[in-house]
Amino acid sequence: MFWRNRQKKIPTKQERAATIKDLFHDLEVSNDFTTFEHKKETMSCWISFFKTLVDVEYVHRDVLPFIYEGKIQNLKDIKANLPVEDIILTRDAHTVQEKVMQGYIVVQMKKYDSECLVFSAIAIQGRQIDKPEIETSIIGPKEAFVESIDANLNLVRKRVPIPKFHVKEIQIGKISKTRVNMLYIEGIANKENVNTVLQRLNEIEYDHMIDAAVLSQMMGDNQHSPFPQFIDTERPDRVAGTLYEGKIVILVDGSPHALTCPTTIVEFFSAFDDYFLVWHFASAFRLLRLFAVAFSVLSSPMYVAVLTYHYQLIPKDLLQTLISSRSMIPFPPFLEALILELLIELLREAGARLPTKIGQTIGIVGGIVIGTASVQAGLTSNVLLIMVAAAALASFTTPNYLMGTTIRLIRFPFLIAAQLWGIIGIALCFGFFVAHLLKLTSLGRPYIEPIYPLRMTDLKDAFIRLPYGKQSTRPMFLRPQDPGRFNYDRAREKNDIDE
Amino acid sequence: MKIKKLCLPILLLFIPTGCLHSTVIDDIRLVQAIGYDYVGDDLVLSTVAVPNYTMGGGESGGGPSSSATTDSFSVISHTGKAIPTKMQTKAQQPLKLGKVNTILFDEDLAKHGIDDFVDYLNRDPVIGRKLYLAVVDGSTQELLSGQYEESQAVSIYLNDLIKQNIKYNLPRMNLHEFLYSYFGQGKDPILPILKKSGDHIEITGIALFRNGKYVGKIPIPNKTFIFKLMSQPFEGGAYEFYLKNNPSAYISVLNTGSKVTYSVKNGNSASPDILIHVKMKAIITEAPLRSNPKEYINKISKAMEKDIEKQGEQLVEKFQKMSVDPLGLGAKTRSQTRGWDFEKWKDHYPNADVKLKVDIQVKQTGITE
Repeated sequence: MFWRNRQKKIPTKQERAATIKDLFHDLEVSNDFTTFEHKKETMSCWISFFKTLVDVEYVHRDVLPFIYEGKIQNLKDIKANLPVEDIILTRDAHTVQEKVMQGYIVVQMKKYDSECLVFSAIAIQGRQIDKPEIETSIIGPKEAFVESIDANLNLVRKRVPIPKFHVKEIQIGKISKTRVNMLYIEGIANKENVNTVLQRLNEIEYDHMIDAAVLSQMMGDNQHSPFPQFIDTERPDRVAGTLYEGKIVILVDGSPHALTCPTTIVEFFSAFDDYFLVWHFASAFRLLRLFAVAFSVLSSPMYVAVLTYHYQLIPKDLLQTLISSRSMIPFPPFLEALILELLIELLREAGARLPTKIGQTIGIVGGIVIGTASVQAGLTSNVLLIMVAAAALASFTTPNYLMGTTIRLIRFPFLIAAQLWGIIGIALCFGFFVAHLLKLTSLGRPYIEPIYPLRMTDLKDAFIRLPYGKQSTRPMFLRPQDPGRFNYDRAREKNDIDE
Repeated sequence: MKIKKLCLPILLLFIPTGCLHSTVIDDIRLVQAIGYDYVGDDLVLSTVAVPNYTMGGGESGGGPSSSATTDSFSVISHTGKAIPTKMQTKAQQPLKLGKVNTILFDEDLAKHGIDDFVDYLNRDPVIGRKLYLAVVDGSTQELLSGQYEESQAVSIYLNDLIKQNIKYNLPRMNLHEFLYSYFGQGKDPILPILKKSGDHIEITGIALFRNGKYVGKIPIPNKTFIFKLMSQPFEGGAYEFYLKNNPSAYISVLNTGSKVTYSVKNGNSASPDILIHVKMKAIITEAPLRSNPKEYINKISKAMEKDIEKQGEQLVEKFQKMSVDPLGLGAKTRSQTRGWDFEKWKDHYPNADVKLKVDIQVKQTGITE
């Protein structure tokens, strides 16, 4: 009707080098590619590698001396003598290309010879394992994922030391060939879920894969939904915890975040801290966060709706406060609220884009100067200023960043609906979101699971977290192969000491 | 394709927005109290009290101000039920009725009947059910436009005054209760009576209605206390009386919880037997000192029981003579009688044998006990 289909089918080029000779011609263009001839009386060979990908010190100390030794005549001798475990003798240009780009060393007898010996000398460069910065916790482990997938896998394996913990590696990205690992515990994780993830990963056709967040958008059930369908976490302990629940975890090379799936909406509001606190406090904080979500989404739309249409709803003792604070303001409540909400979003965005040192200035400028000045200038009422600021604060209590963004942004449709139809509009907008959430799935499992479909057993770890003595079963919506954590009846049996 | 299909309904949603009238809170004037005065047949002087919140506020763009003034508009018209058009012409901004919390009638109008007003109040959806109706001894215009010592708006003053008294002295009387007893069988409505005295407003009694007409009153305070004891369980309220042998020594008793039960026999006969049983817990707050407190307390409570029983029965007799039923004896009888007939009850009511029995339990006499 209005749009034309602009996504034309562009034929993808064959980007792989056909022969070893072509490959080396390509590689030699880059200046950091080193290739040199090693000449001796008995033999000569060509050694080539990327000096930026290879641990040069290791090459000089542990590799070259073995090749320089006298007895070596051909590649097979090198293979036999080198104290390296992963040595491949191949004529396949594709394999050579792949390995060279990962930091392998290629040894040939002649220049551009088709027979190549490749072995690993990968230099591991990257951050040290550090404290979590997003999902910080006072108690509990203080390790966070880094960009290297092997280091990340190491962090998880330490916490799941069993042979049933399986890792499947898939390469995604036609050009980038990024390593993506799928982690699950055989015997606990549902087979159907495992196959679904595997199928979705295999079906992704894209040229590169930079981060887990990109992957989660590509393999989500509904790409148009504002709600994230995978939990991204930087905590290896959380990953291990979810693995034991029967979930599937996806690690992407180069991304310090792991994806866990399937998920339900309430899990986005449970911080991993909750499991370290006594259940009363954990439950109280979860309820507080859920209240914060409702408050953050609904407070300013309610203000607009009530002040624009439903003056009858204001208690008589509050009338004076509201009317006198609004009496000097030239805008209708909607514009007033919109201006303030945009201002807060601007502050947040500016704070996120700026370096931390300048970011502090933003807080002062935004909080003190703009806030008080706009009230004194009579542009916004101080009642609304308090509400909007509290709502912004409340939206930051959501432990998951992606969900927090969603919560902050979905208040704008609510705001518009409140201006158009009052409280009925808010109800209407709420209805739209409920309908959307009802239809939404994560890996084919219902997204708002403990609420609808109602699963009483899963409520034990949803809005509240019951003590571990009551957590005898794994979450039901995951349909784990082994649903029980421990035998509840046997645990409750009383052992008489005297007997 | 999906998006194209969604587009049309979303666009359509914006069409009905023109139908909704917005009432932005600072662009309207909220009428909080209405008064009606009798002028002549079919002529009513309506007065509205509109608090003026916009005047207050400091230089900081409107902090809540400590005092609010009240503007009042008066207009004589034939139909005074809603806001007359004439009144809108006097106001700077549209007058809205959604926050009305008190409606007053002067005594003349109440005597002529307020049925038309009741019908209107019953039907208008913006009128809340929790607002208070009251009869004013004097002119409502004078009362609503008067200046009072309380710094609040007159409407809030009025509302708080009635609410506070209903908690301790008067039976429940809001619009909902009024309509319930007005339309219900075997019950007649009551309203508080207000009077302006100097820079105060006071409640002087309870107005008794029969079919929307003001027919008599119960004076404050002892009679209304007994009336409240008989009509509903409550806590609070003080009763003052004196022993027969010593009229100069007043005794004051505080109610700390009372219960009332009705038992009806022979509900369909020409003279039904109705027993009103009141159980009351009390604290003696003020009494002349005596050497033997236990016996003395017993004496006081016995005397008080007799006193309340006598006065309460007199009160009911008075109701029966006027043939008004503010206690809802008819409704109570109906609930305990099979085949109750309202038409017959009207004839039987004045002959009903109503007995009041009071049990007082003195809980304590103060901290020096």
